[in-house]
Amino acid sequence: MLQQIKRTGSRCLLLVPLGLIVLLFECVPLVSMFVKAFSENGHFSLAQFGTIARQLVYTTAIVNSLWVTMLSTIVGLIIDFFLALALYSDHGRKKTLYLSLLNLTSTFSGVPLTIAFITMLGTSGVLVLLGKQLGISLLANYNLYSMGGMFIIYAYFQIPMGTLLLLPTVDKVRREWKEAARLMNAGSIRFWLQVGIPVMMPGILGTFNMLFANAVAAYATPYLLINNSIALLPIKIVDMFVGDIRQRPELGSALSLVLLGIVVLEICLSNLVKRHFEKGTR
Amino acid sequence: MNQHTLPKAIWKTIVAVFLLMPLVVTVVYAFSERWVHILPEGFTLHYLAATLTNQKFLLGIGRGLLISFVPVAITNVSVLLALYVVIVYLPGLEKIVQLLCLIPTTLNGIILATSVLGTYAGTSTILANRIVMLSFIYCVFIMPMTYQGLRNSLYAVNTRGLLEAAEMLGARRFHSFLTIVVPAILPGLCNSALMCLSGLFGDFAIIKIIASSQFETAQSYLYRNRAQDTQELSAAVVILLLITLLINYLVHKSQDPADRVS
Repeated sequence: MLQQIKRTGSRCLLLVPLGLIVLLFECVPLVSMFVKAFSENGHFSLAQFGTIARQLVYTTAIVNSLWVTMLSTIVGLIIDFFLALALYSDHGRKKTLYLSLLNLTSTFSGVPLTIAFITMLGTSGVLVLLGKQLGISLLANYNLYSMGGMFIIYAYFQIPMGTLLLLPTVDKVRREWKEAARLMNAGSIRFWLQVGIPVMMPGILGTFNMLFANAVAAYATPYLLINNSIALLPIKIVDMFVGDIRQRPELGSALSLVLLGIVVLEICLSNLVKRHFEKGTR
Repeated sequence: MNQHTLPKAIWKTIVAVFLLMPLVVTVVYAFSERWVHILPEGFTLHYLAATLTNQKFLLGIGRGLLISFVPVAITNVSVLLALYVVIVYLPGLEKIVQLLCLIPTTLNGIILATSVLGTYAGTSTILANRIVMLSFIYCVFIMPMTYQGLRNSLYAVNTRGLLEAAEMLGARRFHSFLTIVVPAILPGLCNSALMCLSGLFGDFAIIKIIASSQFETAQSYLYRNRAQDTQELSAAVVILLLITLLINYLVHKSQDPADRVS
């Protein structure tokens, strides 16, 4: 009996390292974030959320973040979808080569990627100078330091990751189905709309989730390019904790909760849609 | 079928050009003397040499690799130990461990880092130490990927069956876990560990929030010198890219033996 207890005890000891990390750096900070977000001078209050809703700078930050995230996710997903489709019929070396390109560029992100784009499209970027010399006004007047200009980098980092995630899903669409559809006189577009895309839908939604989460938390790119000239949620949150201005961890926690809420809401919505499509396949 | 190949090829080419453009421009910029006209002028290794002998940058790379490696090691060991107990002795706990390990997928680096900073900064415990904070935030950050990689590997080699067989032959379970199961899952473990390493090495957000001034990694070095000479900066980007490429190459290499095992 005593030995049994001793044995169970020593087994539980092996759970301690993970348990401590999870407790101290996941659970406690999360709880403390919730507590801070719902408190004002030590009392329960919704004041922080009131501030966020009232002040234009925070609502703009939320709207801007949602806008750039949604748009880059949708545009990225469309580019990725057609790219995955184009790679679907490829084989052998050609495909391997393209996959290596995607793998290589998927690691190109954050500060190095932004610097590469500054070299290319910044105020004295190579392409901007080229545009000035050749008289291409689109390139000559390109403003990377704006929401629209920065968008190109968001689109860039969504492409390799999304395509790599979508490829296994496209492979699920069997070639025999396409042949069967052709025998029944269905064209390529009709096949993809009625068979291909519904079959791929769970995979597409999973990719959507990843791209969304990736874009909504993107920090290095906007921090380097626009910093505080345009409000974005991640930058505002970080400013509340480490910024040069007065630090307001309570408000920062509330803003963090808003960001978390956006991510969770997006996952819930996509799960609802996914369930609808999975019902269809059963 | 052939009627569709042309638009597909055009699409693939457009995307490939878009993806390659920043890479090519950076590489050419790093190796040319000046580029103010349509074409770059002169080939030089000067900027690459200057960057490679820049002690601050090299220290930054070293710090970046170190602060990425330590959390990967800690997370792999602690998740492995927990999974051993859960798979072999306490299968009832598996769902809880899974939930706790997967929660960080919804918490991005920013939420994670600010919540930890807000909780421990200013307390006079060891947890207020920025390096400790950074290491353990990284641990939590890579936990979902590590957990999934290890769990899949452990189930693929049928851990429970192996250990029962070893026990029947008279070996102690934990001993056989270390000498039989761990070597068997090593390729999978290396694969996910290297992916985590490459992800952490590229991190900027968390390090900026927690320890931007105390612990300058290559990423924060790039950020601090962003207004500097673009050519040296490009050379630094090229070097960082080569390091990431090397890690990725190792990931692919570690995948090969895994295929042979299964």
